Amino acid sequence: MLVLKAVAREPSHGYAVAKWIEETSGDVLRVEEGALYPALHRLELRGLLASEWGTSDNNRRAKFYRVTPAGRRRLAAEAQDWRRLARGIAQVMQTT
Amino acid sequence: MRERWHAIWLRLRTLITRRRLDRDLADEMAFHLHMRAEDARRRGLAPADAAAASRRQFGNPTALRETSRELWTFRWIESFSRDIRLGLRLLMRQPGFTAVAVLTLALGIGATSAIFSFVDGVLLRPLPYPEANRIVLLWEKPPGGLRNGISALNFLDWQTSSTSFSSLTATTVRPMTLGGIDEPTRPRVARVSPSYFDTYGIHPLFGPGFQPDEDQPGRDHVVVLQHKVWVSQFGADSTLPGRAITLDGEAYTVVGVMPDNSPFERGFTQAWRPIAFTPGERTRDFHWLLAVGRLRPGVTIERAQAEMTAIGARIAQQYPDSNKGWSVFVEPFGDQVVSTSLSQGLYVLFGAVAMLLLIGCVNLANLTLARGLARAREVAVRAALGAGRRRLVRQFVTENVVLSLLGGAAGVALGYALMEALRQLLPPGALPREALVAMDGRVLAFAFLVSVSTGVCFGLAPALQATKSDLTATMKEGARGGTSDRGRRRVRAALVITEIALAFVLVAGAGLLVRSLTTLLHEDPGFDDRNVLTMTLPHAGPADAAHLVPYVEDLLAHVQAAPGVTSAALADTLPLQGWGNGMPYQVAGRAAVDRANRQATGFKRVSPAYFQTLGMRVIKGRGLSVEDRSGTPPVTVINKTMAEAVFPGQNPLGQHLLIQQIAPDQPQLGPELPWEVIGVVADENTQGLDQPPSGGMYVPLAQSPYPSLSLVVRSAVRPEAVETAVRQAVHAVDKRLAIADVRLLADLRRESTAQPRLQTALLAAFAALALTVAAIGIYGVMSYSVAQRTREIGIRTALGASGGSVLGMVLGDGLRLVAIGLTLGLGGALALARLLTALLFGVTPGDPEAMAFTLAVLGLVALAACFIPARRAMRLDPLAALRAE
Repeated sequence: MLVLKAVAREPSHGYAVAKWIEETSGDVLRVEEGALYPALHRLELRGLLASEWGTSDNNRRAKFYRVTPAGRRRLAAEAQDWRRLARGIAQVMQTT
Repeated sequence: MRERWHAIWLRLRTLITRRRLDRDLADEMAFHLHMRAEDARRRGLAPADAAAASRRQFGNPTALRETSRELWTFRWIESFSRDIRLGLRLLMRQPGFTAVAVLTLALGIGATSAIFSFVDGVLLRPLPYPEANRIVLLWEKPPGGLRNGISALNFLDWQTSSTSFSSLTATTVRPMTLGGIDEPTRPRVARVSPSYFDTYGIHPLFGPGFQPDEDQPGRDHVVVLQHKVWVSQFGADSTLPGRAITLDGEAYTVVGVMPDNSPFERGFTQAWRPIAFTPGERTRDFHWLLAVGRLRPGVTIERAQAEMTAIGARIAQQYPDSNKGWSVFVEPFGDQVVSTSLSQGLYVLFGAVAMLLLIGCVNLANLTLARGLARAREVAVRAALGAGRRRLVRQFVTENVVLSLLGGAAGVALGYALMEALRQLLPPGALPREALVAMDGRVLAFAFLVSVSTGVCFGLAPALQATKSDLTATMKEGARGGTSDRGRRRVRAALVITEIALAFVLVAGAGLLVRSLTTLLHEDPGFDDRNVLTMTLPHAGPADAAHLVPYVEDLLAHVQAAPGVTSAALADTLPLQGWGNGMPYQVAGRAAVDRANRQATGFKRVSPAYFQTLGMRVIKGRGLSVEDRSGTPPVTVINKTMAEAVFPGQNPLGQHLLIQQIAPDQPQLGPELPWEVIGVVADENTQGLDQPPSGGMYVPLAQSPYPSLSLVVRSAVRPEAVETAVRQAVHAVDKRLAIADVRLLADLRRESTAQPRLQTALLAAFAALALTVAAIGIYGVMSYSVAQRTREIGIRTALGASGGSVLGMVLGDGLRLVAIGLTLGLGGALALARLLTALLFGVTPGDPEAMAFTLAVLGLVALAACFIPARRAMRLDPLAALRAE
C-alpha cells in the first residue's frame, strides 16, 4: 500500500520510492531496501503499476513506475480499510 | 481475477524476451545501488565505504533477483526445458544405451501405431457419410430367420407405402462388359434406385447424377462411374460426362463421376446404373435385391421398424403364396459394416502389439534402474542442495519421456512402413469400403500419447527407486546400501517375471493361431484341386432354353476334345463361391408347407461331368449323365449333408423334391417340378474352408439352363499349359464369347485363406519379436546381477567354491524367476486364450500341444539367457573380482 501511494504521488523509479518512504515516515519505516523490488514487480504483474524504461536525472538507465487506474482504485480501497482498522484499534485501546 | 490474467499475460510476453529480463533486473538494482552510493558519497563517505554501505542496506541482490525472476517466469516451463535439455545431453553421452532404448521403443511404438491405424480406420472412426446414424439396412425377414434378400415387388410396395424414409434404394451387383475401347474390361456394375446417392449423402461430381424418373425402362441407360475408372479407362477425360459409353453392347450416357476421396473409391463396385424393373423382373418370390434407406428427419429407427413390420404384415396378408410368415427387419447400417471375425482379429493383433510394447517397457525399466544406480551420487548431491523428491522424480521421468519421444518419432516412421506393407498384403475386399486406414492426426496423436505414457511408465518406478536412497550412505564411497539394494533387486526380479509371463502369453497365442491355420489349410475341401483350371463365361450364348442347351453341349464337347484335357464341366458357380441359388423345396409325400414358409436348400446347376472333373465321389446311386436332358424326368443328385438332414435314416433315392422351375431369361419362377433324387454325392465346401458344408442339390444344366457359367477343366499336366487350347476350343464354337477370370482352382482355395494366413503371420512375427526382446532383457538383467555380485563370487571362489557350485548358485537364482514367470504366463495364456476362440479353427483355446510347445520354447530361451552370464560367473578370476569395485 505504501509503495502504491508513493508511486501514485508521482511516477518514479524504485530508488525514489525508497527515499520518499524513508523521508515521509520520518525514518520510522526502514526495510531491507532490496525487498522493495520484488514488491514493485508484484504490483506491476498484477496490473496496478505500469512501467517504462527511461533515463534518470543523472543520465543512467532506470525503470520508472506509474500507477494505473486499477492501481488507484486499489489504493483507495486499501486506504479505506486501513483507516477503518486504525480507528477500530484506537477505539479498543481508548477504553481502559 | 483480472489481476491474475494480467500477470499471465505479462509472463507470456516475458517468455519471448527472456534474455532481456535478466539484464533489466540487474540494471534496475544496479541503479538503486549506484544512487544509494552516490548519496552516501555526497554525505561524505569514501567511495569504497559508500558502495559497501549501500550494498549492506540493500540486501542480497542475487537472492532478490532470483525472487523477482521467479515472479516474471512460468517456473514450471523453465524447469521443464532445463530437464529436457539435460536429459538430451545425458542421452548423447551414452550412445549405446540410447541406441538400444530408441530401437526397442521404435519397434514397440511403431507396431502399436501401425495396428492402431487399422483399428482406428476400421472400427473407431465414424462412418464417412453425413449423418451416418440415419442410414439403415432393410431386409425381408423369413419365418425362422432374420435377414434375407428382397424381391422387386415387395421393394416397390415398401417404397410407395412407407413414410419413414427420405430415400429408399435397392441394389444388386452384376459385372457387365465395357466395350468401345481396345481391351474390353468387365467392371462390376451395380443397379441401384436413383435415390442411391441421396441415401448415402455423397453425390457425384461433373454431372446431374440420377434423376428420380430414371427407374423406368427406356430412361435407365445412364451411368455414374467410379473416379478410378474415369481416370484409368478414360484418362480423366473432362468431356466424358454427357457422352455415351458402351456397356454390354448398349449405349449408356455418363451422368456423373464419384469424387476422388469418397468411400465408394475403396469399394468393389466400379459403376452404377439405375434399376428399372422389366415386367419379367416384377416378382415377389425371387429375392435378389438389397435395400438401404435414410430415415426422414425426426423419425427414429424404432418407428421405422414398427411401420415396416406393419407394411410387411399387410403384404403377407395380401400375398400369402409368397409372403406368408415373412416380415421386415430394419437395422442400423453401421451394424453390418464390420464382420465379427475382422473386428476380433484386429483387437487380438492390437493386444499383441500392446504386449510387445509392454515387454519393451520392462526392458527399458530394467536399464533405467541400472542407470539410476549409477547416478546415485548425483541424486544425493542434488537432494543435499535442496531438491525435493518430487522435483528429482520429475527430472528423471522427463528424461525418460524425452527418450521415449525420440523412440516414438522413429516408431512412427517404422509404423508407417508397416501399415503400408499390410495394406498391400491384404486381399482386396478384406476391409469394408467405409474404412479409411491412414497415418493421420488421430493415429499420430495416439502415438504421441503412447510415447509419453511409455516414458512415464518405464521411468517412474526406477525414478522412485533412485530417489529413495539414504543420502549419507550414498555420499560415502561404495554406495552399497543394504535395503535399497534389496528393493532394487526385488523390482528387477518382478520385471523379469513380467517379461517372461508376457512373452509366454504372446507366443502361446501365436502358437494357437499357427495350429489353427495348419488345420484349416489341411481341411478337405471336398474336391481335388490339383491340375484344375477355372474360368468364367459370363454370357454363354443365347438366353432362351431351346438354343442354350445345344450351344452349351457343343461348347463342352469342343473343350473336352482339346489336347491335354482330361475332363471338363460347366457349372453356374465355382467351388468355394457359394451355391449360386437357394431354392425352397417341398418333399413330395410329406405334409405340404406353404411356399412362403418352405426350407431352402442349395441349388447348383452343373453339367454331368462336374463330379468327375472335381474328383467328388458319388456315395449312393448314380451321378448325372448326358441322358438327363429336357424331355426326360427331372433328376437331381443331393449332397451328403442334405441327405442326412432331409432324409435322416431313410433312403433318399427315388424321393421327389418339388421345386419351382427357374427359366434362364426371367426371374419369375415357373411351375413346380418334381426332381427325383437319383444319387448322393460327397460334400464339397461352398462357403469357405472354415465353415461346415451346407446342404444342397445338383441338377443337370440341360434341365435347368443358365446363360452365365463357369468352366472347370481337369488337365493331364500343368493346367496353365492347357489354357490356350481351351480358349481355342471355346472360340471355335463362338468367337465372340468373352472368357474371364482364368484361375487355378488351387489358387482360389489358397485365396480363401488369405486373411487367416496374414493374421497368423503377423501374430507370429510379433511373438518372435517379443521373444527376442524378452530374451535380451533377461540376459541383460542376469548379466547385471552377476556383475553386481562380482565381489561375492570372487570371495566364494577364493574360499574354495567349485565352478559348478557357483554356476549352480547363479543359475538357481535365475531359474527361480523363470519358473515363476512361466507359471504366471501359463495361467495368463489359458485365461486370455478364450478371447481367441472366434479366430480358431479346429483347435481349443487350451490346446495342450500349443501350451507345451510354448513352455518348451520359452523355457529354453530363458535358460539360455540365464546360462551365459552364469557361465561367465563361473569363470571369474577371484583375484580380479576382489580387486574390482
